[in-house]
Amino acid sequence: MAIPLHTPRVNNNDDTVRVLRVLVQRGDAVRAGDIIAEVETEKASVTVQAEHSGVVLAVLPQVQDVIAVGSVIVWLGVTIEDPVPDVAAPDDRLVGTMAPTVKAAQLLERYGLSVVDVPASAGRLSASDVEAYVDGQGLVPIAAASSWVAPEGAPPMTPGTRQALTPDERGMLRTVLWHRQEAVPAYVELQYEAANWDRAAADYQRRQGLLINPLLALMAYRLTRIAAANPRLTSTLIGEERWVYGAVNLGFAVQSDTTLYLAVVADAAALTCAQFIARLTTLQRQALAHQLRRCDTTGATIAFSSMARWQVTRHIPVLPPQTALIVAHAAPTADGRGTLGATYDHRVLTGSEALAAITALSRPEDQP
Amino acid sequence: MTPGVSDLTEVKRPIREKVIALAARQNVDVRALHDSDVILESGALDSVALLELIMWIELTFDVTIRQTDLTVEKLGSIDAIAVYLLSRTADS
Repeated sequence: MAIPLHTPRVNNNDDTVRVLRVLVQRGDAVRAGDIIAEVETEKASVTVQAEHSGVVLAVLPQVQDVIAVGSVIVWLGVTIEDPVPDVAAPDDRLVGTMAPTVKAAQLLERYGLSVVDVPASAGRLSASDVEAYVDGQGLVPIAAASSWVAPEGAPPMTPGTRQALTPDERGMLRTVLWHRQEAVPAYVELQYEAANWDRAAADYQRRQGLLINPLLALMAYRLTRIAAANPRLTSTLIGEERWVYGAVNLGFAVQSDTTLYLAVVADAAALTCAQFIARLTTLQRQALAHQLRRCDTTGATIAFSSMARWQVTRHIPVLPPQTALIVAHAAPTADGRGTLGATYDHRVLTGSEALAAITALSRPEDQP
Repeated sequence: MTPGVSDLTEVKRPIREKVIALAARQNVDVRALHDSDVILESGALDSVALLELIMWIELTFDVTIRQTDLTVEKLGSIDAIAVYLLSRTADS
């Protein structure tokens, strides 16, 4: 029996994705969790993993195709002889006719349009269709500041070779571009008595018999509680309106080899401290094994980063896209003073709000 | 070759080597660490290194370590890890 692998939704605003890579072909054996393809929207790129083990019966899209969320990417079977369902099923035919050409998709992005906004003159939406629509509506390209994609630049004069970025590198690129082009980042920091937190963590660890020092997890949990009490900390800006997130999704930076992940504890404020620590530890283990699922790295509404492990005494982190605050924890100096920093989106928060957040975080008194 | 877990002494040897190697990465020399010493208290490994040790144990001995087993009692020393592995093998 053939099993479909569907195109995932990358974010709430995009009903289509572009296929960047397809890593399998008919006849390949795959295991659950294997990466099958890579797709992207303007805002993010993600890998698509097999949900079941099996043999690839058919690969439907081609690289650079723009396909609808929910459409079938590959069919998997138990054996290569398994029949492939009719790939021209009604839903997929609809997808095929609506998929714009690459140039049309680029124009849609440039003008902030969706594929459903522009009527196609023929079966497939073309660049001329978009141009005609844009002219007719008198539209102008959306502000360059809204584009998170690096402009194509002329290569340096010094000879060299081009290398494609990995998915992780592309994710980092989008993060730093959002930070630079969308947010208005600012930074505050304070010094605090690190020994207080060390004692609190040691007490908790001893009481719970934990193998792993819970210091950073406790601090991240404290940040979660602070954000739950002040929802402005977990908000962003949409146009000229504040978007206050409905949940505190705590992003926690995890370095694994050369890859930096932002592991996300979803709805962290709904967890007890022990549940939070367990969940975060699980995510850290998955990150170290490079086995985080896409849903475990997306949707952060606030974030925490520590470079204390490397004895870094100050760092100014980059804001994850569409967050207003990321807290930076660093190694204490020789005199026992630690530094807590906060990069914040000044469109959303004031410096005093960011400072109040890390001031509260510097005190471990409220820890269980 | 995956070490067997029927012989405690044989199990402890690669674990000790791994702990020493992970500590060395943090510029800590724990060659004098006793098998009964609590690794955490020795200052040999920080939180991430301990997680790396857990991952290495899972891969090397083909076991899945439950989240609830991440305690000092069960995995806090080389002795404890070896006994834990023996018990998990017996369970399976």
